[in-house]
Amino acid sequence: MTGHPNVTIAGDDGVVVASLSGEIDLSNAAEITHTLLGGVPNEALGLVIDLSEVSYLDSAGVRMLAELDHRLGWRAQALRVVAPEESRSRRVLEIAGLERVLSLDTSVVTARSSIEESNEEPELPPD
Amino acid sequence: MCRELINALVPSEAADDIALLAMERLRVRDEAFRLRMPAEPAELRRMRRALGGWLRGIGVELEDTNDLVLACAEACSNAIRHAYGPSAGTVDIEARRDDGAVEVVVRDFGRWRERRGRDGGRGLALIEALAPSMRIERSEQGTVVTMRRTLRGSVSV
Repeated sequence: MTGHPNVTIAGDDGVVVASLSGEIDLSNAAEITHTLLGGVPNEALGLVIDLSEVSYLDSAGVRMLAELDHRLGWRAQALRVVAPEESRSRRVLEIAGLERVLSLDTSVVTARSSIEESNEEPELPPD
Repeated sequence: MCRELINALVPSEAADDIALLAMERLRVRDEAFRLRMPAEPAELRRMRRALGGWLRGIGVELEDTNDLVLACAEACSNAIRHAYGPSAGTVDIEARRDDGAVEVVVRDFGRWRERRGRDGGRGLALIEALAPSMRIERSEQGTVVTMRRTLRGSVSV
């Protein structure tokens, strides 16, 4: 796993929390995607991406989140995105219609507990 | 006009000198914004700074500025992704205020290849949401994307 200046990864209890910062655009979205995927171990329940400190996000960032959602989905790992109300990232995700696809939260605490709680639910019996 | 006004307003014998200054308000025309950038992703940040600084400088509010910069960045990103081969060209950006609106024009000199990579339409959808009167003109010479946004807190001079 290689680091990236815009990414800080912390993880415990099976939920990986990645805090992004700065500007996300066409110049760095692919590398950030790569770093994030590398930061999620196979045994992790899911990934929380915190956009609170992101000052700029555009469709490159939207594509990145859609791609991560897709890739984690294959492995049945959850993705939740923290974007505070009234933040610029929130506005961009809403304009792009991503709030209908992704699970958005307003804090890391709620995002993390959503992932943990959904894991505690009993598994459905196989068909 | 001043002489007529003085004659009409002042009795024929005035006690002191009288000066009347008449002023006409002219519409202030802002300098247009012009930038030519290499069609490289790493140049987008500089473009955003420059356009954002220009918009704030002519008194455009923060949210309008952010939305216009985003719309412009999407158009430039599209040009970078679709207009040129690996030996990249340039993208020209022009912006001007027109009464209570700002028009941003992004021009490239290549030919867009449709649907290279996934999710090609996300950027255009964003532009349409931010600047609903967006129009795209494609020709042999390149592609011109014109975006116009009516300013929220516009002060017309």
